[in-house]
Amino acid sequence: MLHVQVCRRLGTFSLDVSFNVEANEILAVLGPSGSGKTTLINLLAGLERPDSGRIVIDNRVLFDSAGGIDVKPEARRIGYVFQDCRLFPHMSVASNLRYGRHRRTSNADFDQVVALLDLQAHLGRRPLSLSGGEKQRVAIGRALLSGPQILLLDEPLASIDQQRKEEILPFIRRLRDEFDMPIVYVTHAPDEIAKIAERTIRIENGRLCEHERIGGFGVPTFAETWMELIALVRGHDEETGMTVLTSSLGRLLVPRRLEPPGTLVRVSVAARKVDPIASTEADDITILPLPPVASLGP
Amino acid sequence: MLTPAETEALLLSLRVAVWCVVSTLPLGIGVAWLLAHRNFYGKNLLNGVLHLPLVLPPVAVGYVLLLTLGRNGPVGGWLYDTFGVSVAFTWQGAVVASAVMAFPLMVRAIRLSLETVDRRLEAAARTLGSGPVRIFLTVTLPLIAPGVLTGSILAFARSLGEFGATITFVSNIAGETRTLPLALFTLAQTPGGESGALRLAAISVALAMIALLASEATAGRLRHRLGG
Repeated sequence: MLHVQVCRRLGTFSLDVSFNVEANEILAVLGPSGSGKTTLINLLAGLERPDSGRIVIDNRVLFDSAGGIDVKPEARRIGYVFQDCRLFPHMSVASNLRYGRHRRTSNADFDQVVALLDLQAHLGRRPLSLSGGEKQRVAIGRALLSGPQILLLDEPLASIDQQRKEEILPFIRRLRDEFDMPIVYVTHAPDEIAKIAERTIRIENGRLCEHERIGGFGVPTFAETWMELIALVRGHDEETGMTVLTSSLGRLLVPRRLEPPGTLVRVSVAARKVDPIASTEADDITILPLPPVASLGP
Repeated sequence: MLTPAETEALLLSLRVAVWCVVSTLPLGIGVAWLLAHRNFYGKNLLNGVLHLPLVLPPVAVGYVLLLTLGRNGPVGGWLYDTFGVSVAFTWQGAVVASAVMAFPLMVRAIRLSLETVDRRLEAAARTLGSGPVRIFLTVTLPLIAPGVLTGSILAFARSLGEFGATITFVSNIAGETRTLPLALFTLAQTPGGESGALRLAAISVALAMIALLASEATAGRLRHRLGG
């Protein structure tokens, strides 16, 4: 779990926020440009220093102004995916991915991450020859392979066209499911949030505005439409004959499916059914075939 | 083709130039890094002193070196009394003279290159678990490699051409400090030495061309590696 309580003054602007992120949760941080979103994650990563506050990950204190603790960025074990990727131009994709692996604590397996992010074909290439979406996937992989305890993503899809976004979002969801760590996702695009985040906080002028479940997030376009999301088949309930799926909306119960546990499926849910609820039990959930997304295996 | 004396001058020049580059490179990178990335008291003064050899008459630089590093000078005397070494009137002294003259050129090239390195890449490397030394070796240094190469070639060429500071500091001793330009000067002053002087001048031109072409080719390859 990540606990954050930070204060930082920059001229007339001041950032003052506190929140928690659970393990296995994607928290979306929303807010207009200049609201302090990037400052916030720079503080978490240790690239900027809070004036006061406390940052703790899984009982490991990274910053504590009262106790005089300020762990250096290189020792924080935070995976930071920058908006501008920041791949090392003089290294191949494979070398970029391996750059953070000298940390002995790395628990992510190289081949697994390469497969997850679909980078096999690009390992020998140079970053400059990659498309925006490919670069971002390499940046995500590089951060993952450094063995982080938490992942920070700063508008990772800001400079990518819509089609590429659709490609990358499922990867980010899979990260959470496979690596079981908190993810802080900074963005200003509501459609991205709807697809991946469990919870959002909103920052305006350096202050927290709201905490809310994604279901309560008031995006008008979802009012009477269908939402599409990726879900993971968890198992089958023999008694009720229902199949249990997990998704960004929580647990979904659907009529018995044939897919084995561990398979990813694409689910369409009527948007009005996904109000602030932890699980959805409904018959108007339809499951569509999912050709492009590979099965992850049980 | 070449007389033994001319060969000797050529080899001595190459030895002095190579040692000039090798011995000043680490310090040159360090000073360039300080000037590019750090603010400290006396930075402008350091920058000014470093650039003095570019604007002073080389003879004046050689004279200052003689006064300080000569056996009767404060630094030279101490070196001789403590370690029994003296660089005055030796080929090592010629290395010192050309290093002082070449140093500002080297530092300028490396500093310019350092200033173009995207520091956000270094921040990214920190979040990936690298400390300052590893970041410098794995990110910064490879990215400034073209600048380091340019600085080295400039220093090498400057050393090959060094005359004033060398002849003033370490004199013109055949086989010890008589580098190519000094040998050329000596021949030009000697009746009947014109053809030898011409040969040495031709060698100087050839050396300079080879150095320039090699640096262009290597810089091109480095830039290609960096994806430019």
